[in-house]
Order: sequence, then structure tokens, then C-alpha cells
Amino acid sequence: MNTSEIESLLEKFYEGNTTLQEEEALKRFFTGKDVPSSLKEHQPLFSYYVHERNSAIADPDFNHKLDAQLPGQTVEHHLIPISSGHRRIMFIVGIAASVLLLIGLFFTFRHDIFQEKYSQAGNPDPKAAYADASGALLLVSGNLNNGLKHLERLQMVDKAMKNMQLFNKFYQYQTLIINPDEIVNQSIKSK
Amino acid sequence: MNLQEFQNSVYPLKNKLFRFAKRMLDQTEEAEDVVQEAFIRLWNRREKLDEYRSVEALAMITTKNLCLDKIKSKRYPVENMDNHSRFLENMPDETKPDHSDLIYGINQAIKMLPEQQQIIVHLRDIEGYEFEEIAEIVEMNENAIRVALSRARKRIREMLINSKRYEYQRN
Repeated sequence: MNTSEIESLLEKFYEGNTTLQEEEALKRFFTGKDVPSSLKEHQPLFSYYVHERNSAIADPDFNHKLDAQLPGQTVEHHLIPISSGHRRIMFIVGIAASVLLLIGLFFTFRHDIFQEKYSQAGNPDPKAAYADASGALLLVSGNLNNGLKHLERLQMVDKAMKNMQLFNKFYQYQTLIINPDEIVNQSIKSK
Repeated sequence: MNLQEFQNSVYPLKNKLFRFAKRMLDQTEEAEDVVQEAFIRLWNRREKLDEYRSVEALAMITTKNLCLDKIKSKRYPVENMDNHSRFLENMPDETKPDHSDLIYGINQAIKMLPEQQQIIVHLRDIEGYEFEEIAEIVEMNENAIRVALSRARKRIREMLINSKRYEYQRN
């Protein structure tokens, strides 16, 4: 590969757009012998990448140790490793749940804030309670009367209906005008 | 999956898992412990392993989660990503041979990156995973991974250039 090809590959590499094959080509090129001096500065990184891939577990007994450990293990059935994303969701859900719990506890133990002053006082005063109750009833009846006042307007409908009866008469006379014979008939009948 | 199948198909991942754990924990022994623990977890789910599309991805995810747990529980000192001077201070002294000098320097540069970028650079540039596979392991979409990878590569280059300048100034 020539220098300009490598340069354009490098550019792509730093933009994150190289394919694995192209990255392999870069690694091969930079670990090879004929790296031109103009590109020498990129050499360390690629030889580092190649070098790191060779790092391995040093313990030669690693497999044997595992062999010894595995048979004693029981099968896990429903455990799924919790990913960090799920963990975050669970964290938020946990906070929400504890806030709800706190609110619930607050209202369970402080329900007295909803209760009226009499029960809170412990020793209720019947007179005060009576006065308050009758006051409340008065208020209710006052409001009821207020509401009834507006109902009076319904009488207007009655009045209007009376006027509507005039139409009836109008209709009677109209038939007489259209049908004058009726008058004769009627007069005969009435006679 | 019986033990023999497990040994044949999952044991060979051990060095990959080890390198990944070592990248995250920065300690050889801890990394080996994590790999062992990851194998035990996978073995405990041997009945379900066939249901997964890729046992390798599952092994990497398990390793990643174990490392994150370790980092959290131990309160590992989190490297300050943007602390350039610290990176320069950590540069090796002249007594070390050239080759390991360089590896050490690049290691340090990668360690300065945010955790997610470290993982992505490791999976892509060292292990040579496809973006699709990385997406599964880090739970990000492929485009976001490309962006993070590009940022990380540029950042590493920048740090290496600066450290060289620093060396020249010293000499």
C-alpha cells in the first residue's frame, strides 16, 4: 500500500469509519518494516494495539482450577445479569417507591390534620359544636333559598304559555275566515 | 451444555475476558478473579446458554458487569479524564526500556478516557469486534459507538503528541 492510501485510511480511522479489514491493513502496515518516516508517528499506537492482543492469563493452572470449581456449582434458573441500564431504571423506580412510601406513611400517621378541631381538642364542647352545626345548617338553608329565588323565573314560562293560548283563538278565527260556511253551519247549529 | 462442551466453547474466551477485565480494573490479579467469577456465572446458566445468540457477547457482558461492580464496591480511584498534567506526570522515566515505555504511555492515555470510550476502544481496536457486537456489549447504538470511538481515537492521538512535546521540552 502506498503512502497516500495509508494517509486516507488514517483519516477514515480517526473518524471511526474504517472497516475491520481496513484496520487490520493499517495494523499490518505499521507493524511491518517499511514505514516511511512521514508516517512514523502513527506507528506506536498500532503496534500497541497488536501487542495488547497477545496479553493472556499467565496462570497455567487457570483451567484446572476452574475444572475443579465448576462441578460443585448449582444451576441458576431465573437470574439474569442486571445490566447497568436496568440498574439505573431500578434506581429511579426505587426512589419513586420510597417517596410514595413516605407520603403514605405521612398521611397514615398524620391523618389528624384532616380532622376537625373538636376531635383534636380531645374534650369536645357541645355548645360550640351545636352553634357550629346550626351555623352550618343556616348556611345551607340560606343557600337553598338563594337557589330557589332563581327558580322563580320559571313562572315566566307559565305566563308565556298563557299567551300561547291566544294562538288557539287565532287558529279558530282563521278557520272561520278560510271556511265561511262554517259560520253559517255553526249559526244554524247554534240555532 | 455439559462440562466438556463448556470447556470447548467457553474456556477459549478466557484471554479475551481477561484483557477486557484488565482494561477496566487495571490489575492483573483482580482481572483473573473476575474472569473466574464470570466463568462460574456462565456455567451456572449452562442450561440457558444455547438460547443466547452469542455466548461470547454474554461472557463479555458478564465480565463488564462484574468489573463495574468491583469498581463501585471498591471505590476505585476514578481517573480524571481531562487531567493532562497527571497523564504527563505518569509518563515513565528514562530508566525503562523504550518499548515498554511506549506501551505504558499509551495505556495511560487510554486510561484517561471516559470509561465507556475505554471499553469501546478496547473492543474495537484491540479485540477487533464488529460495531454490531460492541453495540450488544455496551448497550449503545452503532452510530453513537462510531462517534465515541472517533472521539477516543483523536483524544489518544492528541495525548500522545502532547506527551512527546513534553519529552522534548524535558530533554
